[in-house]
Amino acid sequence: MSFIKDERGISEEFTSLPALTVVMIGFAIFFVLIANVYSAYNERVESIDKHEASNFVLEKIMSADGYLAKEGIVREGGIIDASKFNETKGDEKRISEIIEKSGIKGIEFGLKLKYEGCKEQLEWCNIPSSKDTAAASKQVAVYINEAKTVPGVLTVLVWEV
Amino acid sequence: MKIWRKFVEDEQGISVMHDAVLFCLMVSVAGAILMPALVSDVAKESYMEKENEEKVEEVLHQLMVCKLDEFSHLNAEPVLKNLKINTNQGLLKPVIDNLLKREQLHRTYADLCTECVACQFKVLGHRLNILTQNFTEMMRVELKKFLERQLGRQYKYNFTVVWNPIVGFDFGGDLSVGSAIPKTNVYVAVAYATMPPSLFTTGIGFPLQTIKNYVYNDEIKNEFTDAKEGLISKDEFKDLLTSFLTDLINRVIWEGFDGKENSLVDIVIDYIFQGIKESIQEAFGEALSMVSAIISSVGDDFTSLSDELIRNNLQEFLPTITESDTFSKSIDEVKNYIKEEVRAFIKNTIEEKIQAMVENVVNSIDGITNIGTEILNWLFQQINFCRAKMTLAIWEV
Repeated sequence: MSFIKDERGISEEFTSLPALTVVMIGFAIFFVLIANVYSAYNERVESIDKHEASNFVLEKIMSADGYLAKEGIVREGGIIDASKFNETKGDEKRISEIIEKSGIKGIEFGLKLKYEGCKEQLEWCNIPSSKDTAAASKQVAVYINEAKTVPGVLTVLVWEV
Repeated sequence: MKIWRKFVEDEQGISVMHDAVLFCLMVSVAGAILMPALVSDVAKESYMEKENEEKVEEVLHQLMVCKLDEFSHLNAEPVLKNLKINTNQGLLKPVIDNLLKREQLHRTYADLCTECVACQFKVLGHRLNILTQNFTEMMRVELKKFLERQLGRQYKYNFTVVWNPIVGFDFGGDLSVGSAIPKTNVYVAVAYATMPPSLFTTGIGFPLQTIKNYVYNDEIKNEFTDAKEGLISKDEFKDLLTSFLTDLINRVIWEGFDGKENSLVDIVIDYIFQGIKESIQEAFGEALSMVSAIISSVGDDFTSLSDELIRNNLQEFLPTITESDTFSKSIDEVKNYIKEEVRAFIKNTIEEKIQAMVENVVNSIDGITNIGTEILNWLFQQINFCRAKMTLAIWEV
Protein backbone atom coordinates (compact mmCIF):
# COMPACT_ATOMS: atom_id res chain seq x y z
CA MET A 1 0.00 0.00 0.00
CA SER A 2 3.06 2.19 -0.26
CA PHE A 3 1.80 4.02 -3.37
CA ILE A 4 -1.24 5.38 -1.48
CA LYS A 5 0.92 6.96 1.09
CA ASP A 6 3.16 8.36 -1.51
CA GLU A 7 2.37 12.07 -1.55
CA ARG A 8 4.77 13.05 -4.25
CA GLY A 9 3.34 14.07 -7.59
CA ILE A 10 4.01 16.03 -10.75
CA SER A 11 1.89 19.16 -10.59
CA GLU A 12 0.57 20.76 -13.81
CA GLU A 13 2.77 23.51 -15.07
CA PHE A 14 1.83 26.94 -13.93
CA THR A 15 1.61 28.14 -17.55
CA SER A 16 -1.49 26.07 -18.22
CA LEU A 17 -3.75 28.75 -16.73
CA PRO A 18 -2.79 31.54 -19.17
CA ALA A 19 -2.84 28.88 -21.89
CA LEU A 20 -6.43 28.07 -21.07
CA THR A 21 -7.30 31.78 -21.10
CA VAL A 22 -5.80 32.13 -24.57
CA VAL A 23 -7.74 29.10 -25.77
CA MET A 24 -10.97 30.53 -24.39
CA ILE A 25 -10.40 33.89 -26.09
CA GLY A 26 -9.54 32.06 -29.32
CA PHE A 27 -12.75 30.06 -29.09
CA ALA A 28 -14.78 33.18 -28.47
CA ILE A 29 -13.30 34.97 -31.49
CA PHE A 30 -13.85 31.91 -33.64
CA PHE A 31 -17.48 31.65 -32.63
CA VAL A 32 -18.14 35.34 -33.23
CA LEU A 33 -16.55 35.04 -36.65
CA ILE A 34 -18.59 32.03 -37.68
CA ALA A 35 -21.79 33.49 -36.29
CA ASN A 36 -21.19 36.77 -38.12
CA VAL A 37 -20.44 35.11 -41.42
CA TYR A 38 -23.42 32.87 -41.10
CA SER A 39 -25.90 35.56 -40.13
CA ALA A 40 -24.55 38.05 -42.69
CA TYR A 41 -24.71 35.44 -45.43
CA ASN A 42 -28.21 34.45 -44.41
CA GLU A 43 -29.39 38.01 -44.34
CA ARG A 44 -27.87 38.76 -47.72
CA VAL A 45 -29.35 35.70 -49.35
CA GLU A 46 -32.72 36.53 -47.87
CA SER A 47 -32.67 40.15 -48.99
CA ILE A 48 -31.45 39.25 -52.47
CA ASP A 49 -34.13 36.57 -52.65
CA LYS A 50 -36.79 39.07 -51.68
CA HIS A 51 -35.50 41.65 -54.10
CA GLU A 52 -35.26 39.10 -56.86
CA ALA A 53 -38.82 38.02 -56.23
CA SER A 54 -40.04 41.60 -56.49
CA ASN A 55 -37.90 42.20 -59.55
CA PHE A 56 -39.32 39.07 -61.14
CA VAL A 57 -42.86 40.27 -60.43
CA LEU A 58 -42.00 43.68 -61.88
CA GLU A 59 -40.58 42.22 -65.06
CA LYS A 60 -43.42 39.78 -65.47
CA ILE A 61 -46.22 42.31 -65.09
CA MET A 62 -44.44 44.86 -67.27
CA SER A 63 -43.90 42.47 -70.19
CA ALA A 64 -45.61 43.26 -73.47
CA ASP A 65 -47.96 40.27 -73.18
CA GLY A 66 -48.50 40.61 -69.40
CA TYR A 67 -51.86 41.21 -67.79
CA LEU A 68 -51.19 44.92 -67.20
CA ALA A 69 -50.66 45.31 -70.95
CA LYS A 70 -53.98 43.54 -71.60
CA GLU A 71 -55.67 45.87 -69.13
CA GLY A 72 -54.17 48.87 -70.91
CA ILE A 73 -52.17 50.05 -67.91
CA VAL A 74 -48.97 49.29 -69.81
CA ARG A 75 -49.13 50.76 -73.30
CA GLU A 76 -47.15 49.82 -76.36
CA GLY A 77 -43.43 50.31 -75.84
CA GLY A 78 -43.59 49.71 -72.07
CA ILE A 79 -45.14 53.08 -71.23
CA ILE A 80 -47.41 53.33 -68.16
CA ASP A 81 -50.81 54.92 -68.74
CA ALA A 82 -51.31 57.33 -65.82
CA SER A 83 -55.09 57.66 -66.16
CA LYS A 84 -55.64 53.88 -66.31
CA PHE A 85 -53.35 53.45 -63.30
CA ASN A 86 -55.35 56.05 -61.45
CA GLU A 87 -58.61 54.28 -62.31
CA THR A 88 -57.29 50.99 -60.97
CA LYS A 89 -55.54 52.14 -57.81
CA GLY A 90 -58.65 52.34 -55.62
CA ASP A 91 -60.57 49.43 -57.14
CA GLU A 92 -59.87 46.47 -54.85
CA LYS A 93 -61.86 44.02 -56.96
CA ARG A 94 -59.93 44.90 -60.09
CA ILE A 95 -56.61 44.73 -58.27
CA SER A 96 -57.28 41.23 -56.95
CA GLU A 97 -58.33 40.20 -60.45
CA ILE A 98 -55.05 41.55 -61.85
CA ILE A 99 -53.03 39.69 -59.18
CA GLU A 100 -54.94 36.49 -59.84
CA LYS A 101 -54.65 36.65 -63.62
CA SER A 102 -51.02 37.73 -63.71
CA GLY A 103 -50.05 34.10 -63.01
CA ILE A 104 -47.94 34.82 -59.90
CA LYS A 105 -48.65 32.33 -57.13
CA GLY A 106 -47.85 32.44 -53.43
CA ILE A 107 -47.18 36.14 -53.19
CA GLU A 108 -49.26 39.24 -53.54
CA PHE A 109 -48.10 42.54 -54.91
CA GLY A 110 -49.02 46.20 -55.07
CA LEU A 111 -47.79 49.03 -57.28
CA LYS A 112 -46.70 52.58 -56.62
CA LEU A 113 -46.17 55.18 -59.30
CA LYS A 114 -44.52 58.56 -59.14
CA TYR A 115 -43.90 60.78 -62.11
CA GLU A 116 -42.81 64.30 -62.91
CA GLY A 117 -45.57 66.77 -62.24
CA CYS A 118 -47.69 64.57 -59.96
CA LYS A 119 -48.11 65.95 -56.49
CA GLU A 120 -48.22 62.68 -54.60
CA GLN A 121 -47.31 59.10 -55.25
CA LEU A 122 -50.14 56.97 -56.67
CA GLU A 123 -50.56 53.76 -54.67
CA TRP A 124 -52.67 50.65 -55.01
CA CYS A 125 -55.09 50.38 -52.10
CA ASN A 126 -54.19 46.75 -51.31
CA ILE A 127 -50.69 47.52 -49.97
CA PRO A 128 -50.64 46.52 -46.27
CA SER A 129 -48.91 48.77 -43.78
CA SER A 130 -48.02 46.11 -41.22
CA LYS A 131 -46.61 43.28 -43.36
CA ASP A 132 -42.99 42.70 -44.21
CA THR A 133 -42.64 43.74 -47.85
CA ALA A 134 -39.86 43.76 -50.41
CA ALA A 135 -39.66 46.32 -53.18
CA ALA A 136 -38.12 46.80 -56.61
CA SER A 137 -38.24 49.94 -58.72
CA LYS A 138 -37.91 50.70 -62.38
CA GLN A 139 -37.54 53.99 -64.19
CA VAL A 140 -40.37 54.20 -66.69
CA ALA A 141 -42.06 56.58 -69.07
CA VAL A 142 -45.57 57.67 -68.06
CA TYR A 143 -48.21 58.57 -70.61
CA ILE A 144 -50.36 61.46 -69.41
CA ASN A 145 -52.05 62.41 -72.68
CA GLU A 146 -51.29 62.62 -76.41
CA ALA A 147 -48.98 65.57 -75.84
CA LYS A 148 -47.34 64.53 -72.61
CA THR A 149 -45.17 61.54 -71.81
CA VAL A 150 -42.98 62.14 -68.77
CA PRO A 151 -40.35 60.16 -66.88
CA GLY A 152 -41.38 58.42 -63.66
CA VAL A 153 -40.62 55.60 -61.26
CA LEU A 154 -42.73 52.46 -60.85
CA THR A 155 -42.26 50.49 -57.64
CA VAL A 156 -43.61 47.04 -56.96
CA LEU A 157 -44.03 45.78 -53.39
CA VAL A 158 -44.41 42.07 -52.75
CA TRP A 159 -45.40 40.18 -49.61
CA GLU A 160 -46.26 36.65 -48.70
CA VAL A 161 -49.92 35.71 -48.52
CA MET B 1 10.40 -2.74 -15.54
CA LYS B 2 13.12 -0.96 -17.44
CA ILE B 3 10.58 0.69 -19.75
CA TRP B 4 8.44 1.79 -16.77
CA ARG B 5 11.40 3.49 -15.15
CA LYS B 6 12.25 5.27 -18.42
CA PHE B 7 8.71 6.61 -18.73
CA VAL B 8 8.54 7.91 -15.15
CA GLU B 9 11.91 9.55 -15.32
CA ASP B 10 11.29 11.23 -18.62
CA GLU B 11 11.10 14.94 -17.91
CA GLN B 12 10.62 16.10 -21.52
CA GLY B 13 7.15 17.24 -22.59
CA ILE B 14 5.18 19.69 -24.67
CA SER B 15 3.92 22.57 -22.65
CA VAL B 16 0.14 23.26 -22.73
CA MET B 17 1.09 26.72 -24.00
CA HIS B 18 2.26 25.17 -27.24
CA ASP B 19 -1.18 23.66 -27.71
CA ALA B 20 -2.81 27.00 -27.06
CA VAL B 21 -0.56 28.84 -29.51
CA LEU B 22 -1.23 26.19 -32.18
CA PHE B 23 -4.95 26.55 -31.53
CA CYS B 24 -4.79 30.34 -31.88
CA LEU B 25 -2.84 29.94 -35.09
CA MET B 26 -5.52 27.68 -36.54
CA VAL B 27 -8.31 30.04 -35.49
CA SER B 28 -6.45 32.87 -37.26
CA VAL B 29 -6.10 30.75 -40.39
CA ALA B 30 -9.82 29.95 -40.30
CA GLY B 31 -10.54 33.66 -39.84
CA ALA B 32 -8.32 34.56 -42.77
CA ILE B 33 -10.09 32.00 -44.94
CA LEU B 34 -13.50 33.32 -43.91
CA MET B 35 -12.49 36.96 -44.15
CA PRO B 36 -13.45 37.45 -47.83
CA ALA B 37 -16.92 36.12 -47.09
CA LEU B 38 -17.17 38.44 -44.11
CA VAL B 39 -15.82 41.60 -45.66
CA SER B 40 -16.45 41.50 -49.41
CA ASP B 41 -19.92 41.74 -50.84
CA VAL B 42 -19.49 39.76 -54.03
CA ALA B 43 -23.15 38.88 -54.29
CA LYS B 44 -24.23 42.42 -53.53
CA GLU B 45 -21.72 43.87 -55.96
CA SER B 46 -22.83 41.63 -58.80
CA TYR B 47 -26.41 42.54 -58.02
CA MET B 48 -25.55 46.23 -58.09
CA GLU B 49 -23.91 45.71 -61.45
CA LYS B 50 -27.05 44.10 -62.77
CA GLU B 51 -29.11 46.98 -61.38
CA ASN B 52 -26.86 49.52 -63.10
CA GLU B 53 -27.14 47.66 -66.39
CA GLU B 54 -30.91 47.78 -66.07
CA LYS B 55 -30.81 51.44 -65.07
CA VAL B 56 -28.93 52.54 -68.18
CA GLU B 57 -31.41 50.64 -70.37
CA GLU B 58 -34.34 52.23 -68.54
CA VAL B 59 -33.01 55.77 -68.82
CA LEU B 60 -32.30 55.33 -72.53
CA HIS B 61 -35.84 54.01 -72.97
CA GLN B 62 -37.18 57.09 -71.16
CA LEU B 63 -35.13 59.27 -73.46
CA MET B 64 -36.58 57.54 -76.50
CA VAL B 65 -40.24 57.89 -75.52
CA CYS B 66 -40.58 60.86 -73.17
CA LYS B 67 -41.75 64.11 -74.68
CA LEU B 68 -40.29 67.55 -74.24
CA ASP B 69 -43.14 70.02 -73.78
CA GLU B 70 -41.49 73.05 -75.28
CA PHE B 71 -38.34 73.31 -77.28
CA SER B 72 -37.17 76.27 -79.26
CA HIS B 73 -34.08 77.33 -81.11
CA LEU B 74 -33.00 80.28 -83.15
CA ASN B 75 -32.16 79.67 -86.79
CA ALA B 76 -29.23 81.51 -88.33
CA GLU B 77 -27.92 82.57 -84.92
CA PRO B 78 -24.27 82.68 -86.11
CA VAL B 79 -25.31 84.99 -88.95
CA LEU B 80 -26.94 87.37 -86.47
CA LYS B 81 -23.93 87.19 -84.17
CA ASN B 82 -21.64 87.96 -87.07
CA LEU B 83 -23.74 90.98 -87.88
CA LYS B 84 -23.41 91.99 -84.22
CA ILE B 85 -27.15 91.88 -83.64
CA ASN B 86 -28.10 91.36 -80.03
CA THR B 87 -30.98 88.90 -80.17
CA ASN B 88 -32.12 89.74 -76.65
CA GLN B 89 -32.31 93.44 -77.23
CA GLY B 90 -35.63 94.95 -76.05
CA LEU B 91 -37.97 95.47 -78.94
CA LEU B 92 -35.89 93.47 -81.36
CA LYS B 93 -36.32 90.21 -79.49
CA PRO B 94 -39.99 89.60 -80.42
CA VAL B 95 -39.26 90.50 -84.05
CA ILE B 96 -36.32 88.10 -84.31
CA ASP B 97 -38.22 85.41 -82.41
CA ASN B 98 -41.11 85.78 -84.76
CA LEU B 99 -38.98 85.50 -87.86
CA LEU B 100 -36.22 83.11 -86.95
CA LYS B 101 -37.21 81.24 -83.81
CA ARG B 102 -38.50 77.75 -84.32
CA GLU B 103 -40.65 76.26 -81.63
CA GLN B 104 -41.40 72.58 -81.35
CA LEU B 105 -44.01 71.33 -78.92
CA HIS B 106 -44.48 67.87 -77.44
CA ARG B 107 -41.79 66.09 -79.41
CA THR B 108 -39.88 63.11 -78.07
CA TYR B 109 -36.22 63.62 -77.19
CA ALA B 110 -35.30 60.96 -79.74
CA ASP B 111 -37.16 62.78 -82.53
CA LEU B 112 -35.48 66.06 -81.70
CA CYS B 113 -32.05 64.39 -81.56
CA THR B 114 -32.45 62.73 -84.95
CA GLU B 115 -33.75 65.95 -86.46
CA CYS B 116 -30.79 67.80 -84.99
CA VAL B 117 -28.21 65.43 -86.47
CA ALA B 118 -30.03 65.22 -89.81
CA CYS B 119 -29.61 68.94 -90.51
CA GLN B 120 -25.96 69.35 -89.52
CA PHE B 121 -24.48 68.07 -92.80
CA LYS B 122 -21.08 67.30 -91.39
CA VAL B 123 -18.54 66.25 -93.99
CA LEU B 124 -14.97 65.28 -93.14
CA GLY B 125 -15.33 66.77 -89.66
CA HIS B 126 -16.60 70.12 -90.91
CA ARG B 127 -20.13 71.30 -90.31
CA LEU B 128 -21.53 72.69 -93.55
CA ASN B 129 -24.84 73.90 -92.19
CA ILE B 130 -23.97 76.64 -89.76
CA LEU B 131 -27.51 77.99 -89.69
CA THR B 132 -28.74 75.36 -87.26
CA GLN B 133 -25.84 75.69 -84.82
CA ASN B 134 -28.21 76.96 -82.13
CA PHE B 135 -30.44 73.87 -82.59
CA THR B 136 -27.51 71.67 -81.53
CA GLU B 137 -26.63 73.92 -78.61
CA MET B 138 -30.19 74.07 -77.26
CA MET B 139 -30.58 70.33 -77.71
CA ARG B 140 -27.45 69.79 -75.61
CA VAL B 141 -28.91 71.96 -72.85
CA GLU B 142 -32.20 70.04 -72.79
CA LEU B 143 -30.52 66.62 -72.88
CA LYS B 144 -28.25 67.62 -70.04
CA LYS B 145 -31.21 68.75 -67.95
CA PHE B 146 -33.12 65.54 -68.61
CA LEU B 147 -30.23 63.18 -67.91
CA GLU B 148 -29.16 64.97 -64.75
CA ARG B 149 -32.71 64.80 -63.46
CA GLN B 150 -32.96 61.07 -64.13
CA LEU B 151 -29.52 59.99 -62.99
CA GLY B 152 -28.94 62.33 -60.08
CA ARG B 153 -25.54 63.13 -58.64
CA GLN B 154 -24.61 59.52 -58.11
CA TYR B 155 -23.81 58.95 -61.76
CA LYS B 156 -21.90 60.61 -64.53
CA TYR B 157 -22.98 60.06 -68.09
CA ASN B 158 -22.24 60.41 -71.76
CA PHE B 159 -24.98 60.42 -74.34
CA THR B 160 -24.10 60.37 -78.03
CA VAL B 161 -26.19 60.31 -81.16
CA VAL B 162 -24.39 59.50 -84.38
CA TRP B 163 -25.84 59.48 -87.84
CA ASN B 164 -23.20 58.05 -90.11
CA PRO B 165 -24.99 56.63 -93.13
CA ILE B 166 -21.94 55.34 -95.00
CA VAL B 167 -19.82 53.27 -92.59
CA GLY B 168 -16.27 54.57 -92.38
CA PHE B 169 -16.90 57.74 -94.39
CA ASP B 170 -17.08 60.86 -92.26
CA PHE B 171 -20.42 62.23 -93.37
CA GLY B 172 -23.62 62.81 -91.39
CA GLY B 173 -24.11 64.41 -88.00
CA ASP B 174 -23.47 63.88 -84.32
CA LEU B 175 -24.52 65.18 -80.96
CA SER B 176 -22.86 64.46 -77.65
CA VAL B 177 -23.42 65.51 -74.05
CA GLY B 178 -21.68 64.56 -70.81
CA SER B 179 -18.16 63.74 -69.71
CA ALA B 180 -15.50 61.63 -71.40
CA ILE B 181 -16.14 57.92 -70.83
CA PRO B 182 -13.68 56.18 -68.48
CA LYS B 183 -12.18 52.83 -69.43
CA THR B 184 -13.66 50.68 -66.67
CA ASN B 185 -16.91 50.19 -64.76
CA VAL B 186 -19.06 51.76 -67.43
CA TYR B 187 -22.59 50.61 -68.22
CA VAL B 188 -23.69 51.14 -71.79
CA ALA B 189 -26.99 50.92 -73.62
CA VAL B 190 -27.42 51.29 -77.37
CA ALA B 191 -30.55 51.95 -79.39
CA TYR B 192 -31.33 52.91 -82.95
CA ALA B 193 -33.75 55.70 -83.79
CA THR B 194 -35.43 56.26 -87.12
CA MET B 195 -34.36 59.37 -88.95
CA PRO B 196 -37.03 61.96 -89.69
CA PRO B 197 -38.50 61.94 -93.20
CA SER B 198 -36.21 63.70 -95.64
CA LEU B 199 -34.80 62.95 -99.03
CA PHE B 200 -32.37 60.61 -97.33
CA THR B 201 -35.12 58.36 -96.06
CA THR B 202 -37.75 58.74 -98.78
CA GLY B 203 -36.09 60.05 -101.95
CA ILE B 204 -33.44 57.36 -101.96
CA GLY B 205 -36.19 54.81 -102.49
CA PHE B 206 -35.52 54.91 -106.19
CA PRO B 207 -31.90 53.77 -106.11
CA LEU B 208 -32.82 51.20 -103.45
CA GLN B 209 -35.21 49.49 -105.84
CA THR B 210 -32.64 49.73 -108.61
CA ILE B 211 -29.99 48.23 -106.35
CA LYS B 212 -32.31 45.35 -105.44
CA ASN B 213 -33.11 44.63 -109.08
CA TYR B 214 -29.44 44.79 -109.98
CA VAL B 215 -28.42 42.34 -107.26
CA TYR B 216 -31.25 39.85 -107.79
CA ASN B 217 -30.89 39.77 -111.60
CA ASP B 218 -27.14 39.45 -111.78
CA GLU B 219 -25.22 36.36 -112.88
CA ILE B 220 -23.72 36.09 -109.38
CA LYS B 221 -26.75 34.03 -108.35
CA ASN B 222 -25.91 31.27 -110.88
CA GLU B 223 -22.21 31.48 -110.08
CA PHE B 224 -23.04 31.00 -106.42
CA THR B 225 -25.08 27.86 -107.24
CA ASP B 226 -22.20 26.57 -109.38
CA ALA B 227 -19.76 27.14 -106.52
CA LYS B 228 -22.08 25.39 -104.10
CA GLU B 229 -22.37 22.37 -106.36
CA GLY B 230 -18.63 22.33 -106.99
CA LEU B 231 -18.83 23.22 -110.70
CA ILE B 232 -16.40 26.10 -110.17
CA SER B 233 -13.61 26.25 -107.62
CA LYS B 234 -13.85 28.35 -104.46
CA ASP B 235 -10.99 30.58 -105.60
CA GLU B 236 -12.75 31.30 -108.87
CA PHE B 237 -15.93 32.18 -106.99
CA LYS B 238 -13.98 34.40 -104.61
CA ASP B 239 -12.67 36.43 -107.56
CA LEU B 240 -16.11 36.68 -109.11
CA LEU B 241 -17.74 37.81 -105.86
CA THR B 242 -14.98 40.34 -105.14
CA SER B 243 -15.34 41.97 -108.53
CA PHE B 244 -19.14 41.94 -108.22
CA LEU B 245 -19.11 43.63 -104.80
CA THR B 246 -16.50 46.20 -105.87
CA ASP B 247 -18.58 46.99 -108.93
CA LEU B 248 -21.76 47.19 -106.83
CA ILE B 249 -20.25 49.60 -104.30
CA ASN B 250 -18.78 51.73 -107.07
CA ARG B 251 -22.12 51.95 -108.81
CA VAL B 252 -24.08 52.63 -105.61
CA ILE B 253 -21.81 55.29 -104.25
CA TRP B 254 -20.66 57.24 -107.24
CA GLU B 255 -21.22 55.77 -110.69
CA GLY B 256 -24.97 55.23 -110.74
CA PHE B 257 -26.67 52.37 -112.53
CA ASP B 258 -27.50 53.72 -115.97
CA GLY B 259 -24.71 56.17 -116.58
CA LYS B 260 -26.86 59.12 -115.50
CA GLU B 261 -26.08 61.23 -112.45
CA ASN B 262 -28.17 59.28 -110.01
CA SER B 263 -25.60 57.71 -107.72
CA LEU B 264 -26.08 58.01 -103.98
CA VAL B 265 -23.31 60.54 -103.54
CA ASP B 266 -24.71 62.74 -106.30
CA ILE B 267 -28.20 62.66 -104.89
CA VAL B 268 -27.05 63.30 -101.32
CA ILE B 269 -24.59 66.05 -102.06
CA ASP B 270 -26.89 67.82 -104.50
CA TYR B 271 -29.66 67.66 -101.93
CA ILE B 272 -27.50 69.04 -99.15
CA PHE B 273 -26.22 71.96 -101.16
CA GLN B 274 -29.53 72.68 -102.77
CA GLY B 275 -30.98 72.79 -99.27
CA ILE B 276 -28.29 75.11 -97.97
CA LYS B 277 -28.56 77.38 -100.99
CA GLU B 278 -32.32 77.60 -100.84
CA SER B 279 -32.53 78.09 -97.12
CA ILE B 280 -30.02 80.90 -97.22
CA GLN B 281 -31.32 82.64 -100.27
CA GLU B 282 -35.02 82.24 -99.73
CA ALA B 283 -36.21 81.50 -96.23
CA PHE B 284 -33.41 82.91 -94.13
CA GLY B 285 -32.51 85.63 -96.57
CA GLU B 286 -36.01 87.03 -96.44
CA ALA B 287 -36.31 86.81 -92.68
CA LEU B 288 -32.83 88.16 -92.08
CA SER B 289 -33.37 91.00 -94.53
CA MET B 290 -36.41 92.02 -92.56
CA VAL B 291 -34.37 91.97 -89.39
CA SER B 292 -31.69 94.05 -91.07
CA ALA B 293 -34.27 96.50 -92.38
CA ILE B 294 -35.29 97.13 -88.79
CA ILE B 295 -31.75 97.64 -87.60
CA SER B 296 -30.21 100.52 -89.41
CA SER B 297 -26.65 99.66 -88.37
CA VAL B 298 -26.55 96.65 -90.67
CA GLY B 299 -27.23 98.71 -93.73
CA ASP B 300 -28.70 97.68 -97.06
CA ASP B 301 -26.03 95.25 -98.12
CA PHE B 302 -27.42 92.46 -96.03
CA THR B 303 -27.65 89.57 -98.52
CA SER B 304 -24.03 89.92 -99.50
CA LEU B 305 -23.04 89.88 -95.84
CA SER B 306 -24.81 86.59 -95.13
CA ASP B 307 -23.49 85.12 -98.41
CA GLU B 308 -20.02 86.07 -97.30
CA LEU B 309 -20.45 84.33 -93.98
CA ILE B 310 -21.49 81.12 -95.70
CA ARG B 311 -18.62 81.43 -98.14
CA ASN B 312 -16.18 81.89 -95.26
CA ASN B 313 -17.47 78.68 -93.77
CA LEU B 314 -16.97 76.86 -97.08
CA GLN B 315 -13.53 78.43 -97.38
CA GLU B 316 -12.54 77.01 -94.01
CA PHE B 317 -13.54 73.64 -95.38
CA LEU B 318 -11.85 74.07 -98.75
CA PRO B 319 -9.17 76.80 -98.79
CA THR B 320 -8.88 76.82 -102.61
CA ILE B 321 -12.14 78.76 -102.83
CA THR B 322 -11.30 82.38 -103.56
CA GLU B 323 -13.07 85.57 -102.62
CA SER B 324 -13.90 86.28 -106.24
CA ASP B 325 -15.72 82.97 -106.77
CA THR B 326 -19.45 83.29 -107.03
CA PHE B 327 -21.62 81.60 -104.46
CA SER B 328 -22.74 78.84 -106.88
CA LYS B 329 -19.18 78.28 -108.03
CA SER B 330 -17.98 77.88 -104.44
CA ILE B 331 -20.67 75.32 -103.79
CA ASP B 332 -19.80 73.42 -107.00
CA GLU B 333 -16.16 73.30 -105.96
CA VAL B 334 -17.01 71.89 -102.55
CA LYS B 335 -19.30 69.33 -104.16
CA ASN B 336 -16.55 68.09 -106.48
CA TYR B 337 -14.06 68.01 -103.61
CA ILE B 338 -16.34 65.83 -101.51
CA LYS B 339 -16.95 63.46 -104.44
CA GLU B 340 -13.20 63.04 -104.88
CA GLU B 341 -12.85 62.31 -101.18
CA VAL B 342 -15.53 59.63 -101.44
CA ARG B 343 -13.60 58.01 -104.29
CA ALA B 344 -10.44 57.90 -102.20
CA PHE B 345 -12.40 56.44 -99.33
CA ILE B 346 -13.80 53.66 -101.49
CA LYS B 347 -10.36 52.70 -102.68
CA ASN B 348 -8.86 52.67 -99.19
CA THR B 349 -11.51 51.40 -96.85
CA ILE B 350 -14.13 49.41 -98.64
CA GLU B 351 -11.70 46.90 -100.18
CA GLU B 352 -11.00 45.46 -96.75
CA LYS B 353 -14.68 45.15 -96.02
CA ILE B 354 -15.26 43.40 -99.35
CA GLN B 355 -12.50 40.89 -98.61
CA ALA B 356 -14.03 40.13 -95.21
CA MET B 357 -17.47 39.64 -96.77
CA VAL B 358 -16.10 37.34 -99.51
CA GLU B 359 -14.27 35.18 -96.95
CA ASN B 360 -17.40 35.03 -94.86
CA VAL B 361 -19.57 33.87 -97.78
CA VAL B 362 -17.06 31.28 -99.01
CA ASN B 363 -16.53 29.83 -95.53
CA SER B 364 -20.22 29.39 -94.84
CA ILE B 365 -21.27 28.64 -98.40
CA ASP B 366 -23.41 25.64 -97.42
CA GLY B 367 -25.45 27.59 -94.89
CA ILE B 368 -26.44 30.34 -97.32
CA THR B 369 -29.55 29.81 -99.41
CA ASN B 370 -29.99 33.17 -101.07
CA ILE B 371 -26.84 35.04 -102.00
CA GLY B 372 -28.82 38.09 -103.17
CA THR B 373 -30.30 38.68 -99.71
CA GLU B 374 -26.89 38.19 -98.09
CA ILE B 375 -25.34 40.79 -100.37
CA LEU B 376 -28.16 43.27 -99.78
CA ASN B 377 -27.96 42.79 -96.00
CA TRP B 378 -24.25 43.41 -96.12
CA LEU B 379 -24.69 46.45 -98.34
CA PHE B 380 -27.31 48.00 -96.05
CA GLN B 381 -25.10 47.44 -93.05
CA GLN B 382 -22.51 49.59 -94.79
CA ILE B 383 -24.94 52.15 -96.18
CA ASN B 384 -28.04 53.03 -94.20
CA PHE B 385 -29.57 56.49 -94.25
CA CYS B 386 -32.61 55.67 -92.16
CA ARG B 387 -31.24 55.21 -88.67
CA ALA B 388 -29.11 56.98 -86.10
CA LYS B 389 -27.26 55.21 -83.32
CA MET B 390 -27.90 56.40 -79.77
CA THR B 391 -25.48 55.40 -77.05
CA LEU B 392 -25.88 56.13 -73.37
CA ALA B 393 -23.00 55.34 -71.03
CA ILE B 394 -23.22 55.81 -67.26
CA TRP B 395 -20.75 55.25 -64.45
CA GLU B 396 -20.79 55.81 -60.74
CA VAL B 397 -18.98 58.81 -59.35
